[in-house]
Amino acid sequence: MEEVAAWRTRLEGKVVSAMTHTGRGYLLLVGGLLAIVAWGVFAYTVQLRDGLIVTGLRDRIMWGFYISNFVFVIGISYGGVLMSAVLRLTGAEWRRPITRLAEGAAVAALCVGALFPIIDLGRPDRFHFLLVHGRWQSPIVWDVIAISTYLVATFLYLFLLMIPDMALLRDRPGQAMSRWRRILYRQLSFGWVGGERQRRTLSQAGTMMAIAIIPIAVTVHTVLAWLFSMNLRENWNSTIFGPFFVAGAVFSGIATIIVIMAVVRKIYHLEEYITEKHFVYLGYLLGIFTLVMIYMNVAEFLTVGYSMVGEAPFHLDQLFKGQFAPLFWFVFLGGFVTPGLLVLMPWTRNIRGIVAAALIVIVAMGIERYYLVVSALRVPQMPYEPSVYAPSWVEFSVVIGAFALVGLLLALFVKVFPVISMWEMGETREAGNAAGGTGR
Amino acid sequence: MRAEAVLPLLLFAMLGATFLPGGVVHASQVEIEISAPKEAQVGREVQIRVTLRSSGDGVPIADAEVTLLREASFARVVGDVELARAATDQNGVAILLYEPTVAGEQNLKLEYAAADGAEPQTAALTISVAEGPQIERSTAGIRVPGLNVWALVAVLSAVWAILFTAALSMVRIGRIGAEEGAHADQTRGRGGPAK
Amino acid sequence: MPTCRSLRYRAILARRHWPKLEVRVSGVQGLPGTESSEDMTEDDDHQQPSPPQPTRGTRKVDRRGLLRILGIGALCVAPLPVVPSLLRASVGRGLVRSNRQAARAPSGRIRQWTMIIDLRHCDGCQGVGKPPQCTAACIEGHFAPEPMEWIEVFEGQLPGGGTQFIPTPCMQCQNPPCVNVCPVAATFSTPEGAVLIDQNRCIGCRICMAACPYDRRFFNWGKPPVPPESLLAGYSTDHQVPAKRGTVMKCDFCPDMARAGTLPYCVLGCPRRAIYYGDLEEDIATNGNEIVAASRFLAQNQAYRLKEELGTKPRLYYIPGHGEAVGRDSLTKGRLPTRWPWVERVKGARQWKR
Repeated sequence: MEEVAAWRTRLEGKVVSAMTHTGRGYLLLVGGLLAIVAWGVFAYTVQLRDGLIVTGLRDRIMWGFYISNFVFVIGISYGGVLMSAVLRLTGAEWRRPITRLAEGAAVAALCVGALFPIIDLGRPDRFHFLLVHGRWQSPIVWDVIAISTYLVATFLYLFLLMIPDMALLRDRPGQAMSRWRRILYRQLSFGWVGGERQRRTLSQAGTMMAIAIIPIAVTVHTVLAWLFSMNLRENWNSTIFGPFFVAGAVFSGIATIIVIMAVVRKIYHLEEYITEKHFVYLGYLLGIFTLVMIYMNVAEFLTVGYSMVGEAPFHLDQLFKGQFAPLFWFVFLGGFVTPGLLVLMPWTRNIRGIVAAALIVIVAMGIERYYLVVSALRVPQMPYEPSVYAPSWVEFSVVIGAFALVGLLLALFVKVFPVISMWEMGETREAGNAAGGTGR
Repeated sequence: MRAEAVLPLLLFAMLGATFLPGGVVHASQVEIEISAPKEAQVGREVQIRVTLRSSGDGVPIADAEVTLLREASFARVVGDVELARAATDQNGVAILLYEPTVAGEQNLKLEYAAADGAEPQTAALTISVAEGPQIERSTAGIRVPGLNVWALVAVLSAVWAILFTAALSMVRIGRIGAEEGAHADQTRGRGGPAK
Repeated sequence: MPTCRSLRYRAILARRHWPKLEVRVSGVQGLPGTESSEDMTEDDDHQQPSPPQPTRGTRKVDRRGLLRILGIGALCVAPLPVVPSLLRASVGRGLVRSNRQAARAPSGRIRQWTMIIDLRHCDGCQGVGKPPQCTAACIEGHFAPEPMEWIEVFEGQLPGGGTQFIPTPCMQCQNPPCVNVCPVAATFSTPEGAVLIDQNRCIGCRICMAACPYDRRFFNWGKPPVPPESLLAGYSTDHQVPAKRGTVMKCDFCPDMARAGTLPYCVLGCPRRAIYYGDLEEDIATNGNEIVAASRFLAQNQAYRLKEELGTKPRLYYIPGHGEAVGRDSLTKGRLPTRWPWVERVKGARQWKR
């Protein structure tokens, strides 16, 4: 037990020092992110002043960088759902060190992702019309409902499973904790004392939320897909769009978790808890989803290309051979096939290889969302010349500012809340030790 | 019929009447018998029975085209609107069917030509059309059987109920914590076993 | 190997810092829901170290309780804004704005506007030597901002060769994809069958533009030019002036003019009289010169609609042709580009390209 206690103290020490010890590197990072966010806000004020004319969008391609990144950012929040809920319900013990980080990343991504539709509106001053005058038959209203429900659910899930850790930090002796931290932890611990009744309540609530949040998450991205597939556009009006988007979201979510895990592990020296095994298992999941994505793409394009109905010849030509060909083939070969190979081959199945694969996947999924939106809108509806779209500096600035905001929220999260779920870690360790030690 | 078309036909008819042997019916020799209801209603089909006979011997005229027209005005343009067209059969009978769309006293005209090239004649008739219900309707709106707002409300209520229950369990944890904390205080105050 | 007793002791010691943990026997669930009887005994023998808060009295509990109540309250309030629209939908007001009067015939029945474009008479104004006059009339009449062509003359390839000119206003669909997807009912279907836009309701999300399969909706990307005289017009959904930045506009079948018994601008502007405007309820249509029974005119001339297979059920019909009735050869390509002369006299507006 000496060993267990020592191990616990070490873990606790690492996690708390991650929260309280603010190095210069951290301040530089936060400062840089704040600067980028400020630049994004400035670009948005330019847009507010002059209207959407400052973007590259026009009548024929009226959705572009904002909407494609909206889908992308909501998609990367799926890592959290997968880690916390799915792995929890299937009893995968290896998830324990990474659930907190995954949930935090999901919340950060969701909060920022929900801003994108507002940024894209021509009249953001009338945003409240969505609530006051909303039509329930509209895919956009379904999206508003779904995302707000998902946001509430993710918040609840995060703070519910943080209660025991909050209690731990609340009770922790020492002057390292400032006063506001103590107050915050006291409030968020909800009077946790660790008694049997509380534990039972928490367990039931946690299981219920884990079961509930999976259909909510699947619904959110399916509804997002329906924003596109309920329109009569070539390649959008496809029945496979819902599952296609969900698969893509899980794919990019796993990749995001891998990258965030690698970064946090490096910075806060959590190598003891987040090991190569975690990367390898997540890499396997990533590999499985590359197969899923390849399958979905083949199913979609083979069906369309076999009969070549309507505008299919134009669309497939611009996607495979024309304007969007570099993007498409990078995504297919670089984003799907390459990470699959990296995971498959034993000599790249290590932390470096899997993080590299994850980075490629994140970039590829962002590009995939982009050409999905823009290429379908470029298909001419009547006899006119196809248009050209390129994002303007305003769109780039706002989107990069939004990504920086996600990073900023994550950086703040790591400072305020324990980055590893200590109580869940402790359970495994205790059980493992007890089983090994006493032969019980 | 268009004004421009009548003149050449008239000339041809006159020429034909001069040069061709008998058998061609002179335009003024066509008798028309009209059988039409006096009253009708908007949206209900009206049948007008027209019999064409040559006035001399009463022989029915076959394959003669009969056109039904009405005087109409819309957006300050006035003119004759073609409502129905039919050809007479061997018995010289043509049946014209049309659905009145305007109520009131309808001034209808029947145009008929005894044979190709003969001068068309007109006969007037009046039908009093009563008002009827709306015929055409705008059909906009999504109509998927089973998709209604109550299904959405039911799903949303179920989901929000689950979230609400989870939130309530946090309240419950707090309440239990307060209780057990108070209980612990009590027992400690009584001098319970120290740790 | 430490003994059982010392193990227990150490577990309790550890629990001081980790009050919620216990020595687990088994279980795969995230939380200890299973406990051994030993732990129960330990609870009785050795009191758990209690957290300091409750000893400070009831004040802390009240503050906690208040925060909890606030949190739960926020959770309850969050879904409420959606409830009014859900209730409104269930009452079944439908898509039509209740404060708008439908245009009626003298008989009192509601007009059912339709438009028939006779392509046998449309040559893209090649023979007239000007840009398409239907578009020019619409731009002048409605003060359509540049570069909006609410009725746009496309030159389509005929399957057998040659081209035809297709003047394309809004199709005024009876199953309008734009109305179906609008989140705030800014675009709506009227009882007359036309589809209008409420400039005061549109939030500029542009999903209607993505939904329209005929490219007939236009967005005010920048500050649109507004003719001074349009500011004198009272607000009505029957006319789309003054234009507002960040909202969508399109052809609306000139409801204010049709209601008054005048023909739309494009009908009056066409030098070939190729466009007919009519009422399906009264079954009548006119191009300004001739008057026809709409249903017969359509049936006798093989009328068709664009993209029929999409199921949008347009109210706009075409009679096939390529301008042959006005002497156009179908292999003569090209028409003059559209202009927006009125825009030049309004200062301070932004211009953009389609």
